[in-house]
Amino acid sequence: MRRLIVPALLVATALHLQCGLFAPREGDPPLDTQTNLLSFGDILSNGTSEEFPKLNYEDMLGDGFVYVSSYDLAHPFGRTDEIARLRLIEQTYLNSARQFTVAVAWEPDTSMPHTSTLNKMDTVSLYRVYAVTSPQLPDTLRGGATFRLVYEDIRNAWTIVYWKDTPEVEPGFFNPGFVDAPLAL
Amino acid sequence: MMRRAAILVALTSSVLFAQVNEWPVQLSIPMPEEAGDSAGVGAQTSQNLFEKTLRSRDLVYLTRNDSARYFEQQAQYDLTYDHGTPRNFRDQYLNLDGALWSKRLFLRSCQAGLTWSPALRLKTRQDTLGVFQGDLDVGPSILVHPLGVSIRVNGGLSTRLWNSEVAEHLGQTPQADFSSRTGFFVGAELANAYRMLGGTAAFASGEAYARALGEQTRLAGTLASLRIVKGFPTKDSFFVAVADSFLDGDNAQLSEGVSGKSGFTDEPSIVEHALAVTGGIRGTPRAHVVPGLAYAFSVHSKKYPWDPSILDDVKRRTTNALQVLLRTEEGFLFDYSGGIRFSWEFEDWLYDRTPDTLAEYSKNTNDVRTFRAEMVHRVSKLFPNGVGAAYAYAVSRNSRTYPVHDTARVDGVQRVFQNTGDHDEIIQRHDAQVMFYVSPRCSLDVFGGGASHLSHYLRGERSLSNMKNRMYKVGARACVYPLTRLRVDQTFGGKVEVGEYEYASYHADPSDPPPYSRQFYSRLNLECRLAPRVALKSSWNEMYDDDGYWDSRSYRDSAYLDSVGSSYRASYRIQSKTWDHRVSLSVVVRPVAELSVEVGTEARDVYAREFDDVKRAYVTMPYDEGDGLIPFIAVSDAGEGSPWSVEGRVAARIDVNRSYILRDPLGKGASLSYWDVRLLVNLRF
Repeated sequence: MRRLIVPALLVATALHLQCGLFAPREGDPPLDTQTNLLSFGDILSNGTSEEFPKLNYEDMLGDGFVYVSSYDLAHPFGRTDEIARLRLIEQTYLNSARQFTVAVAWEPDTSMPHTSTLNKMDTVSLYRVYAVTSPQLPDTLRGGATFRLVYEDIRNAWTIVYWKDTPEVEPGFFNPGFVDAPLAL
Repeated sequence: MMRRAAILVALTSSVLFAQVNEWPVQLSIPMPEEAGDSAGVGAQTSQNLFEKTLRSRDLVYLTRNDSARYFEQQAQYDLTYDHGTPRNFRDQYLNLDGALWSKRLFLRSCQAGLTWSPALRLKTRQDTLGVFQGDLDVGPSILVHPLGVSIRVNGGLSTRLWNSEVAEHLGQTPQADFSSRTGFFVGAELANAYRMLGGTAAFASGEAYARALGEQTRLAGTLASLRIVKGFPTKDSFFVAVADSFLDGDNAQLSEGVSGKSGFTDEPSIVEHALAVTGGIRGTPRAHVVPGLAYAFSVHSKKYPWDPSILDDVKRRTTNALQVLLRTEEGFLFDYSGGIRFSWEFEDWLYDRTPDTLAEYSKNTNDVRTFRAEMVHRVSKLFPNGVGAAYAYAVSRNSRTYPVHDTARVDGVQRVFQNTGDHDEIIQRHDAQVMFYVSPRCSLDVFGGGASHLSHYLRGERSLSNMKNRMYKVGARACVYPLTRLRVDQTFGGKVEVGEYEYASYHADPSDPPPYSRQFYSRLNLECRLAPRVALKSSWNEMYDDDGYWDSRSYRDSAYLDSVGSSYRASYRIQSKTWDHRVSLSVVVRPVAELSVEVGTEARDVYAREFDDVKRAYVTMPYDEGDGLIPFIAVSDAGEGSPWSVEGRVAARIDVNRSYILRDPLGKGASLSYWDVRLLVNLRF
């Protein structure tokens, strides 16, 4: 019997240790440009003393995230929908030279009281006005956005849990229902 | 034998991928169905009240069975009632299924009957109108037994009546018009047909059904399965199983809208098909080793052909899997079971069309190839005196690759479509247990283990979150009988979980250290038999856990380290901690042999704190329950074959110092007192 069991265990061990069956494949180090194509870092840093530690969408949009447009408050979108929309923007606004061709500017509203520090114990709201410009868009798309943010102690990070978009033109550039029809470059 | 079972059960419950070293369920032989009771009346009531939610089910059934006819009728009423909470709803359901069969109506092997399935549903919400739905399926059935095979054919009238504007209390308001749909249903069923042909056994079952409710909803489906088992002179066995299901059409049902108001809505028409073929060879023991080999192929597709906007479900998944099993024969020197399985899967989105629009190109990037490898080894040895050891090891790899890399001109723009989610997930787990001392008055065992979980994205766009989590655990358990009537059972242990980012330097500025957590526990149980039918029970449980992150140099940028100089020390930063204390004391009385009544109380104090970055101190967490006293009475019936059984528990939590703050944002404290009632009664006569 040992003539069978021992070789079987040796084969299993060899599979495990030698042929990399249970080892990960080679991967790439993080891209420096992965995080801020849509300038989300400016939402916090442009007006407060805080910042998002990570700007990839999975970490920046918290659990239970909701996006809602002021034009259709009855139909909110979830975190998966919004992440898909932001990724689609990244795919759509690439020119033939593979350069990202859309710019987003986030600014505090000067007519609102200035907030420089955020209370990490509480849910906080921030209002930002934005402008989306691209040579592939016929016009600059403007609007306002109310963000509700929560500080996650465990991850030591601010996350966005609610985003109410108030675009000047329906339905809004960041709306998952937005239909991109950019001009060719 | 009991201890041996305990060890194996503990390992089975703690090991992942247990199915890798087990024979595939698809290749198991169908068990013959047990015949039901010939006649009788039964009742069952189940009541659960916790805080302000009541879940109740009452059921009465009647069966009559003689040589000429069979009759059954049931009445089931379900109620879920939530009062005084933000949800505040009341759901009611009444079912009056029944059947009447006449045996030997035309021939000895032919039965004919009538079945009926009326059901009523009423859902109401406070401040909004509710919805009512009534269903009735009624029609004749015929059961024939040609060549010893049972075939049932049925059909009849199907009608639905509904109203989507019903007030909370039906008596208050006449409501808007009721709507209805009437149609028909037909069905046929072949149940577990069995044939023996030479050395080959075949089991077949099948079902087909169709339903039409007016012009709007039509649905048809089939289910079929065939299993073949062939034995060889070598005593090895060959198994094949084929199963197929098909569904085409649409349905309509109650659903809840965004506003919280329910309605009767048509679902989009769906076409869904699944086919699975599994084959395997189960070997006879050779040199005390039982080998096994299995292969499986399956394909599953789903789409909504009349609603192209639903792209998420236009997909087809194809899977191939190969599994090798090995275990030692029963009664061998030691017990070993192990297995390795490889599976390859391809999920093809938009499989029936070429992408054209931007949204379709984007969805098409979800095409994914998955490779899984799973391996389990489990070995144990138990000596006749109860001393022994067991060890289990499990490892798996799950690799996803997104192959679509399209370049296309869409809307006048040249675009690149690619999914960056290529990912490897590797999980390993070790579990060990040693029973190193066993005597009639004492047993002692230790257990421990570890696990690791690696999440590894391949592409630079996602690899920032690459992380490895490790878990280590250890514990010991002792059971002592210092006196004949006294049993003391003590378990204690601990667990640590440590995280580590693959690219630590990318998490240094701003500092984003990895998670770290600990858990320690102790459970002491005492049971003292005071008299033949009276026992005293007591328990003392302590559980401490904390959660935070490991602050080390790897996760600090050089500017910060320069500013603090040599005073910097790597440390565990606790963000939250909970200490749960529980003590209970109860008396168990058995007035009769089958019935047990337990009366006692539990005292509990939960200490939950989290770190406040502003105050630089630990503050009470919102869900800190504080001190509570929970008196309870429990009744259970251990008798088997008895015409009745009962199991119930009534407990009340009494908030001792009104320290619960969850419902009071100002932190002034609010009472957390509630009832916890569970009751299950079965009667049959």
